[in-house]
Amino acid sequence: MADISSYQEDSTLLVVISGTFNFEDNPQFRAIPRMVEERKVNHVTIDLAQLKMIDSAALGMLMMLRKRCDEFGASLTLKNPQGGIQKIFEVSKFYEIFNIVS
Amino acid sequence: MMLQLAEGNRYDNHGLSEASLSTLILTDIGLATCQKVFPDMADMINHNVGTLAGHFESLAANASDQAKDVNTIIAMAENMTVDGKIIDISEFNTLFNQTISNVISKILHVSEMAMEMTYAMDDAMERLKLVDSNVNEIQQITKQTNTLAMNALIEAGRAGESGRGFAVVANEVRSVSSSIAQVSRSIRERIDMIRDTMTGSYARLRDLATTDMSDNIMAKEKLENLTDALLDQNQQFKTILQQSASKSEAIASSITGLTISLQFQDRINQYLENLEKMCAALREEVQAADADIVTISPDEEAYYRVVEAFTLSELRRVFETCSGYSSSSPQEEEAQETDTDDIELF
Repeated sequence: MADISSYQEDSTLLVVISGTFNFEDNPQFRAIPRMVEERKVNHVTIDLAQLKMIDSAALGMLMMLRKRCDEFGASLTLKNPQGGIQKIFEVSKFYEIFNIVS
Repeated sequence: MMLQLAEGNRYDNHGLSEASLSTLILTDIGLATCQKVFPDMADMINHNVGTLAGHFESLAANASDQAKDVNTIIAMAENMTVDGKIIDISEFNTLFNQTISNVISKILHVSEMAMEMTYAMDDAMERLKLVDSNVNEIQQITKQTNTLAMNALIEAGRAGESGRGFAVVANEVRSVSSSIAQVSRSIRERIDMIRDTMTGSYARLRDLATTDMSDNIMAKEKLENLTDALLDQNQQFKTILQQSASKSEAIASSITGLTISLQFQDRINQYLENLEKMCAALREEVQAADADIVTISPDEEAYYRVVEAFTLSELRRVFETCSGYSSSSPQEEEAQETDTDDIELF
């Protein structure tokens, strides 16, 4: 299970995900697209610096979030993915479909 | 002592001393020997050089074929045929990466869909909870209705004859509320069944969404390492094969050089021919000088000194045949026995 926390400042939503991000985190993560819908968020930044592991279900959730952000006109940035996560993002072509910054 | 002359070999004294005549006769025999041996030598050289040249030519041809074969191997090692298509080995990594990326993007697509369905299922579960609480309310109301009907029945009993009609209605209300209670029980049972089914589906969706990608990533890394190693090894093979090919080419060209060097035989043939002609001319001179000699034979000691000079019995026999002396001294017989007739070969 991951630790998911979010902070909103004006129209920017900062989400910090740490630990192991997998299917079990879906009820918690579901709050993020809801916030985008309900709170007039223009930009979402997900800080992954403390993320150790990610599975395909979690990647699927990120892809869904991207879709929701597109629908509601919000931009999405993935920030600071580390070693193993970077490799997974490379293999998954996330660098092509997401805005990823270090 | 003079040697005995065989028939047909008569020399005439031409006013020369015996010693001079003996030397002349020996010289003549020597020249005759040379005349006989030189053409044999030429034949021997021609034959052997011809054989050598033949071997060298086939060696050169083989070496150059080998170089061609090695070059073919080099060309083959750079490509591989997969499903009838020629693929450059260096493209393997790209191909593997594409394949793995395709697999992974399909996995992710499935995961995304599964997560969408999971969320949809969550929503359905939420709605089901609302239905459940509605049924709860209905059951509550039914309970109250039942109680009210019971109370109405009691009141109708107190009213006596005039309450009889009301009692019938109250009974009907009780029976209706018990029917409603039964229906809501059955709705509740169905809701529970739906909830169980959805929980099962939720677990299946979880399995569908969750694929451990580390295997894929490991596989990708392993394949990359493997193809890198293959490429590296292939490069080494190529280098070694190229060296081998150029060595074969060098051998072929050296052998061609050798074949050219073997053309010295023409020169030797000319030398031998010249020497033979010189021998013939000298003999004519000698024979002109002692044309009338009939009775004089060469000095025996001098003759054997010359014979002793031969280490090869083959050439010695030619000399003896040319001399015309059939007899041989006991010394010579002994020499012939011990003669091993060895011609040193290299």
